[in-house]
Amino acid sequence: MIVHKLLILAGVIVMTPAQALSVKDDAGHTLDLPHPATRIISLAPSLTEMLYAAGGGDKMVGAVEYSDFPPAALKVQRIGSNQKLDLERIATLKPDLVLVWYHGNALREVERLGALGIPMFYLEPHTIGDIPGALERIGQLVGSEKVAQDAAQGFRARHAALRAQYSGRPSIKVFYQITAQPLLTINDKQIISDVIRLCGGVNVFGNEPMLVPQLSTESVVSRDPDVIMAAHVGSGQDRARRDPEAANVKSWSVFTSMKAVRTGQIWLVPGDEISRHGPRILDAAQAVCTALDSARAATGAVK
Amino acid sequence: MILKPPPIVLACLLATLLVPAALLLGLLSGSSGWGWPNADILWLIRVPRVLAAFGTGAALALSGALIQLVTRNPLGDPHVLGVTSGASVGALLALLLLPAGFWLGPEVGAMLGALASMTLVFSLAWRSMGRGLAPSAQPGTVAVLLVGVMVGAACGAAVSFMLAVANDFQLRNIVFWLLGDLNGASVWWPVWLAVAVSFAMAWPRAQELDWLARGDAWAWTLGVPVARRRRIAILAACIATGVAVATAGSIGFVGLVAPHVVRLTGLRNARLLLPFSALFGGVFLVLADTVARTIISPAQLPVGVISAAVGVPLFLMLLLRRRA
Repeated sequence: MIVHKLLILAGVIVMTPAQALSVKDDAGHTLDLPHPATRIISLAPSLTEMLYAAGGGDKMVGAVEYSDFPPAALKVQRIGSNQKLDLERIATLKPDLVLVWYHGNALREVERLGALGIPMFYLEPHTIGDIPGALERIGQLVGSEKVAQDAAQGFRARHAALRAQYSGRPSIKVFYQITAQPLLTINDKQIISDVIRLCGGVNVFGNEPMLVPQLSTESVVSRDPDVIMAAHVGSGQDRARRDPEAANVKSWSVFTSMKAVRTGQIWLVPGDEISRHGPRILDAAQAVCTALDSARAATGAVK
Repeated sequence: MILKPPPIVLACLLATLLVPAALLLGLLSGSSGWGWPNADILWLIRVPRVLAAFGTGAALALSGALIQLVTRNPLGDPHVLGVTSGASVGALLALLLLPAGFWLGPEVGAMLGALASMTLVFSLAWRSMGRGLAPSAQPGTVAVLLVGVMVGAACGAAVSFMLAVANDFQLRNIVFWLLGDLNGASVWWPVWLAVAVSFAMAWPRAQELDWLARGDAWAWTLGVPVARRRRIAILAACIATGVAVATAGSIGFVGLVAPHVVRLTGLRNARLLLPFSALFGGVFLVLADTVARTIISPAQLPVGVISAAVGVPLFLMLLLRRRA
């Protein structure tokens, strides 16, 4: 049956005018567009970054708050925040494609957009490996397959190079702190844990059932990680000076029984790069891998 | 009168048994396992947390007992005076306006917020707090409650506004203040101090609070300075609540239920009700927090979930058994 349907679908694609397209999204829906999208709205900063990387940045007419990369995205009109979308403004912009962060946006509001008949494409990369595929699909939707494929190939090559260089290194125990109060971390299903794994690290709370478990201070001390890691707010290395997370993560240093504290392995990595599921996550991965390598040297795992 | 002693004796016995037992249990259990932990975990994590839990529970219960007495309202608890919401507003303002990572910023903000909402309630209800003797006037207790509820509502709106304008990073910190969490409580002694102060303010005249609870006219004919007694009791309740919120965020339920449980065991007069409510509240919150941080360890639950899950059935059981 399924094969049959696929054959019919393939036939449709071949027979309709070359412009029409049909692409499957991460929610399992298939989106049919009569022609590549020309008026696009992105509902997550990571999706904005992906759209630019896939060559569709110039077709963006609306972007969610915090869409600040690449800098050109700052000029695009804002359409509300992640959880509070300005539905009226979105409707008046007459988009022919809305990129939705599946489970990241307030689904109740997004469904209202669906009722307005606006085509929506859901994306939710769970691993680093999901990102190039997402780039390619966005490229198809906006008619810039070539740019998107190049970006995806570049991403895959860089990912493979990092894996070859770091994933085989001696394993090292990492605690990743999302926030200090409440004390939150992530399990292995989250993309940050994938970054840690890529660099040869082991997330000490990777096996927890919840995606973002809330911890007691005691549980972190008793797991005795080799490295404590947190993201600083914003992007790049420039903002580390007066950063709130810097103070938060330093507060671990009173627990001198922890190996990470004794060897001074408390690290801050670039926040936007690591917490957005977008093409820049490999920049974050490079920073994490470098940090873990210094930690290995400091803790004596590498002679 | 001769039949009175048994509940007191029983309560004293239970208290001397339960308080050390609860503290010990709190110290001996944790997400890293049962038994004596290493020095870091014991002194830097478990001791401050258990002490903060006991102090917070005692402060909220004491304040609840006082408010129930002077407002003559069985639903009285620290939230009705608007102090809790005022403290939340102060903490959130500190989070939004101060540079992030400012040491003890939210805690001091919570104290100032509690103080501000307290001043507001007092200045608005000051005159009516002494009223109530003339049958035509609105009873002072109602005025205090209404003003408290209104101040609370205003603070609630302010919290909603701040939630709307906060960025993602601030939002996560804000949620902590609204849910209440003892994991972040690193400074435990202010709440103990607050309990001591507010106890010292209220307890020596506990007898007069009892008369006040029977009605203003009754108390007045017995020579109680009605207005002054009520103001001091409410001030004591506000101090305890403000510091409790600054320590552990807004934790509900303990302040309402602890005095009722103590009353249901037969300790009805204020001289006993106040200290035993505080002890029960402390023990209760230490136990609830111990469960909250061990039951799904290394992850943990908000302590309010446990205190309601254990407290509601306990309270209903006591209430229904008494009826029967």
